[in-house]
Amino acid sequence: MTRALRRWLWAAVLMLAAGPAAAGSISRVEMPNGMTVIVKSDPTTAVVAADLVLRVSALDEPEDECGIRNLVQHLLLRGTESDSGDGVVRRLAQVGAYMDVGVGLDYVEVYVVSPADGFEAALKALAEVVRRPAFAPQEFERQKKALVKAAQPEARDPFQEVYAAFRRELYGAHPYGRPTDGEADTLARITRAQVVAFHARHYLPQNAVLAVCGGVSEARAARAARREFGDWSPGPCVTPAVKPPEPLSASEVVVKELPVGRLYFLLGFPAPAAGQKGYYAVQVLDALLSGRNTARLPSYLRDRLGIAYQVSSFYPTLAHQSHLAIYLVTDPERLSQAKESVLGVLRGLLRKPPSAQELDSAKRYLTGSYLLGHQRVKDQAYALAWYEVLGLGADFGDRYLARIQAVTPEEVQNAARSVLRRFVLSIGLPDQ
Amino acid sequence: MRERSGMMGRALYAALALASLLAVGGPAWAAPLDPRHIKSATLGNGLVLVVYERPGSGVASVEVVVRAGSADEPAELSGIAHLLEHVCWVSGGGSDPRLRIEDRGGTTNAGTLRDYTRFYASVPAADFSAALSALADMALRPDFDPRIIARERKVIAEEVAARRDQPRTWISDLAFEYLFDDSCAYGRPIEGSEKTLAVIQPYQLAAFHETWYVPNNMAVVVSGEVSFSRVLSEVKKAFGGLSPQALPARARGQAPRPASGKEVTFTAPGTRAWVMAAFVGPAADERNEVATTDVISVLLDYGALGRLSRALVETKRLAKTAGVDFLTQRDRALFGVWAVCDPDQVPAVKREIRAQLKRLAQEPVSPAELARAKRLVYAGYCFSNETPADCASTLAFYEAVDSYRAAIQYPARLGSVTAEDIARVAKWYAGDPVWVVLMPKPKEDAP
Repeated sequence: MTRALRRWLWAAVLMLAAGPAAAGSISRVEMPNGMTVIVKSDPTTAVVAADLVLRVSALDEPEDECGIRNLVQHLLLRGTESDSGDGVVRRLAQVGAYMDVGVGLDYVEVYVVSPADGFEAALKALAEVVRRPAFAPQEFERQKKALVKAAQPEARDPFQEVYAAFRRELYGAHPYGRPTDGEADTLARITRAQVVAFHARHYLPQNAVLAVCGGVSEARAARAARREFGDWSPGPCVTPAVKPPEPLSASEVVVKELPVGRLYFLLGFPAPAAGQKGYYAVQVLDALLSGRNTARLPSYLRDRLGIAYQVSSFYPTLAHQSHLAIYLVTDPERLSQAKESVLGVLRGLLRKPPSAQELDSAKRYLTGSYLLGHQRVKDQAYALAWYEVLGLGADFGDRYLARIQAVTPEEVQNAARSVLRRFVLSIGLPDQ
Repeated sequence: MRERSGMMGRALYAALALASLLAVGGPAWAAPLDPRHIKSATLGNGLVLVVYERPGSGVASVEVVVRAGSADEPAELSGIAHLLEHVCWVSGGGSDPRLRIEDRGGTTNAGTLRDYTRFYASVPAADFSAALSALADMALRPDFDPRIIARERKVIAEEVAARRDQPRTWISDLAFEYLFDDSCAYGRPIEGSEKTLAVIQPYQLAAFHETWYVPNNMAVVVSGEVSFSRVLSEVKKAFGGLSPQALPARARGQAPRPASGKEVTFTAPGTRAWVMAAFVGPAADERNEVATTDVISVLLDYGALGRLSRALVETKRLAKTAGVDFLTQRDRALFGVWAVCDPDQVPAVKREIRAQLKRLAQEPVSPAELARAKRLVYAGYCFSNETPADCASTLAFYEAVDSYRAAIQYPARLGSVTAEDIARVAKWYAGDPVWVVLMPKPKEDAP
């Protein structure tokens, strides 16, 4: 397929996809160097966000360099070939913009948010930090020290601790089993040369998706993107083949002692990757369990039994095998009661499909919270670029809403039966 | 919930370039709080309605504001406005009104500050009526069942304990308490005390509700994918039947300036000391001084670029972090400059805070630094008025303490702040502050 034809097809797909909720149409262009640029112009806002999301995932991190993405990302903000980190902040402040970085299991991101008239200056700074970081030795040592300190167990909160232990057990040798922030010992051994090499190998235009959302025209955004990224040269890049995680052969329990007074409880199951079979039904399953006060977990564990004030479930959208997990905080004496109650709620979902009314309420909740969660231009830009990086396509948001609506009670029950089997239970207990 | 007080909070932010902003994309491009799409009406019973139409947003955000807060309480019933907010939010209309919003994927919360109480929600646009009716039930039909009141007393006790655990919020509470003495209503804690909360009776809550929750003391603000005419007819249905009623006179002492120069010290958790220089800032209707104080706040406090951080943290390494507390309120309210440091650095930190404040009053700020600070305040104004929920919240806040029009006029007012304004207003903050200090528990000597 020629590039022009591909582009035309994309445009057609996107026109069809633009639902009534979209404030503006979405354009998607692939530049000759392989970088994808997505623009959603919205004349009703005075703010612009530009989010550059890179296909640099946990799978790209060698095991003995765990945390290198986090270190590289922090160093991007600490100086470029032509300006110091503070200098960049000062330039952004001239137009009122700010910049930050993020690291997820499947991506890294750098973004700017600016009043609309500061967009060009903000995008220029974004390109500069992504393409030409200095990795100055002094800054390297300082940031490394700070990240090693932050990765010490005592710096992490109890949720992070039990979640890290859960992922380690669930994923074993798979990179999803390692913390995205890095381990203190691997971080401490990373050299500046490794950081420079990692950046050169992975921070490439063909790995990059730039999404611009907000108060600039499509033409203005595309022009600025071409100016800042058009001469970025692609390079060879291979993502290593990684074996999928081993299936659980039995349910497992992992226990950690923490300097806390309460019991931290996280119980989870392997669950489908983004867009895979069962993905939408598990989303609904998750919404039946928590998110609203009337959902099953809070209404049973909190309102009926009164054993946990904080109780929730979550199902992250991931490129590879994900997990559906339940998290609660309770009295250390109540461990077995909490476990039995949670399993009891889950058994209810296995036994019979949800009523039409309950299912409808869960779907309304998912649709409404999706809408409310994508109001800020920063959140919109992130979603568009991230969907693209996950291979779901920038129009995934609209498809997501339609697919959620179509989920039937039987599909929910089937999803429960295929997901709610062997689990990993991770517990944090008071250390004395 | 007790209302958050942000840094400059809703105080809002300043503008260098409203004109240039509009010029960039031509007149089709929006300004934050675009006056062309904001409409207002006053119902026959005095209730004010403000609607900001945001077609294409897909959502509707609604605020119901009652101009009654902790400053309107009799001293012996301190905390009653906040307790009433809690009872309304969970019980209005007989069952739990929050569920009607949550079930549609919406969010709701409520807050009480010194001058007002607000109930608010955001929902998909199609569910606007459901949200409005749930909020109307909250504000108008609370259930004064003693069991509900008892439960909410406990929730408030937990809120208070959580605030005490965070020196950042506790020091602001203390600053208000000691900056304004008992003669001024702003000096009383919003949550009241255990003592006053314990004795508040259902009939007293009902009387407070009957006195203040009247249409001529309320406003409804809506922003999102809604039309003014439809909102007007629905608001008339929900609130139009209420009768107006004379309001009690608001007896309020205006805080004297400069403050008296006392110092109070408390013991706080953690290993660091917290220091705050507390001053009396401008009232909402001192509009130039509000914008000027916002600019002063950013000059002092903008990450590593602010003067406080540069002097206290980067250059002299006296403190770990530093910042400014200022939230516009109806009457003159707190302007606080704070820092976190090792306990033995407290005297040096106090000297440096005083020096930075004196410098602002004595040395004219350079045109470049002033332009950047105004630009940052303006950017903050853009960022905090992005979504319909943001806009409804800003308009409602201003309508509660001044007028919603003040929010729209803010960028222009900010644009006109001069170096002379900075020097003049900075003099308010160059005198003797009330010092509030939180010290960690002294370490036991090793045996």
